[in-house]
Amino acid sequence: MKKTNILWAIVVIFAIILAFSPITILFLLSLNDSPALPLKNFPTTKWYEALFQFPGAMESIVNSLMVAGVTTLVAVVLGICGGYALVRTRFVGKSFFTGLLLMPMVVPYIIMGISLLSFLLRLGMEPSLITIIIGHILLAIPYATLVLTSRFIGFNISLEEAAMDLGADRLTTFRKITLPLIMPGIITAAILSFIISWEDVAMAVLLAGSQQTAPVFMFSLVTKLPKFVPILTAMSTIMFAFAIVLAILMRKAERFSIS
Amino acid sequence: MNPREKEASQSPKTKKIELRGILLVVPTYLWLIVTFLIPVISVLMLSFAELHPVTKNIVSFPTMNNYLTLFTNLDYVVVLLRTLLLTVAVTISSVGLAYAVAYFITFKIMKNKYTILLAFQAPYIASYMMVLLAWRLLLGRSGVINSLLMSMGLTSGPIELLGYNAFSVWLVLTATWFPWLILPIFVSLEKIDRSLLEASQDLGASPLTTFLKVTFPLSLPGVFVAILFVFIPTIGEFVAPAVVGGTTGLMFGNLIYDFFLKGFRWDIGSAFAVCLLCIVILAVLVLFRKIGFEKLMESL
Repeated sequence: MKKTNILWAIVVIFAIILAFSPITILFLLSLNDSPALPLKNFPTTKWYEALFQFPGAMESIVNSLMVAGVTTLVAVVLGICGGYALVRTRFVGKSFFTGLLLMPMVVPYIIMGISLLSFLLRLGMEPSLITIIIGHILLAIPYATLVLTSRFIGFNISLEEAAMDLGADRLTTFRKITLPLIMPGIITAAILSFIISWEDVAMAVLLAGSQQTAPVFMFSLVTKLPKFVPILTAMSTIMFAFAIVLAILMRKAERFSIS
Repeated sequence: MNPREKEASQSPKTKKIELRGILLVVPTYLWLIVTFLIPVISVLMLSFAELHPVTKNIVSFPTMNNYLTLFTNLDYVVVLLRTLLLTVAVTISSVGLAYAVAYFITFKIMKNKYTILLAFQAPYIASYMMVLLAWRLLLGRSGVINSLLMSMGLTSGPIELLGYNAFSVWLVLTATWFPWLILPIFVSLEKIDRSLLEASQDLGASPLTTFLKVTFPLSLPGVFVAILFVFIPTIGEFVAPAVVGGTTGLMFGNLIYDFFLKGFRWDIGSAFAVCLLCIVILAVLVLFRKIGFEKLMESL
């Protein structure tokens, strides 16, 4: 019995180290004089200062915000329409639609990315933030729709009927009854869509032109200009902090809309 | 209300609802068809064509030359085999590690299970790129781990295995994927009726037998979901090999990337992409058959 406990401790500690140490060390190194141990001149903010002056770095973070924002908006609206239609209505080719909706989830990004890229180039589009947004919406639609579908399934339809019986028109019913009731689903779908876009490298690398999102900026710097890597430690720490704040805020909004 | 009346009062409504349903799914339908279905089908067509390298006009169609290029060049075959090997290795190690952690959380921890589950997802809130960057600094011949080992006097020179190579790609992909796989396995472990485990033990089975004959078979749906979760992104991976793979850790996805974005040979790249897609479809079909589509969706 003692032996198995020791074995468990080793496995779990190994898992914890594997999962948490890289991020922790990255954070420490972002405050260090050089991106290597031992710590020297610790803590220093010199990489953070360098980051703000590095051409394209802050711009790419702004681009990422824009891309994720538009992606979230479109994916959530399409998700509401799709979820409503799947649960409440009967239409021809429903199972084909469901199959098509789930397909992007099981196809590797590289295949979707190069297919979309060659198709858009053939149509005469130049790679830009817009092509990245088009790709990210494709990635986010299945998740947003599935989340909202499950929200519509748990929805008591008689509440809507009661509103209509009491004289509310369809739009008022949607605004006053349906929307508040599916709000937790909308927020979850929005968080998911935002994170999918915010942290995607693969799709964005394939579809990016001269304007880059933050992960694409990091990828091209790591692979092409390795000596600027320390700046990226500062950049990714800032992005991590931003993502955590965002996650906490959205979690709060979710709780608020449920109560 | 008799059945006929009911039918009569419902039929016009049903018709109207159908139209509304179609109108609501049209935007999503169009998006999926235009940005997913048509592009993937056109890549499938492209893989049987020969394109003019500059103008991208079709020179000849149909032709098998693109596939021949793949299978007659030993370099490409080696990369394909390495990719398959790496994918299987990453799948086994990450699912195995995730299973151990999920089992520990389910059976050995009594309270705050969900907090611990959530904590394991936390590092990945930031971005995949950040984790890769961290590993880029940790690994490498003069990376953090090697320089630490050398300064402590444990090794005289850098450990080559911890440089940028295929082993590093395996290590990094395992480390980044296993936390995501804990949740589906935990869900199916948590669902198991504990009285079954007690019954097995009461009837004299050893803990190992109980695990092999009862616990593990009952947790298989979660394991299959986990396999699906890690297998598909790993086989198409090209970002991690580019960051920590060096020259010997490159994967099939890097070849496709190069053909499309550097070599501008869309036709050959398409053939490579179709091969990859066939492998994925095969794996998904096998997994779906093993477990059944309904059950898979349930545990998602």
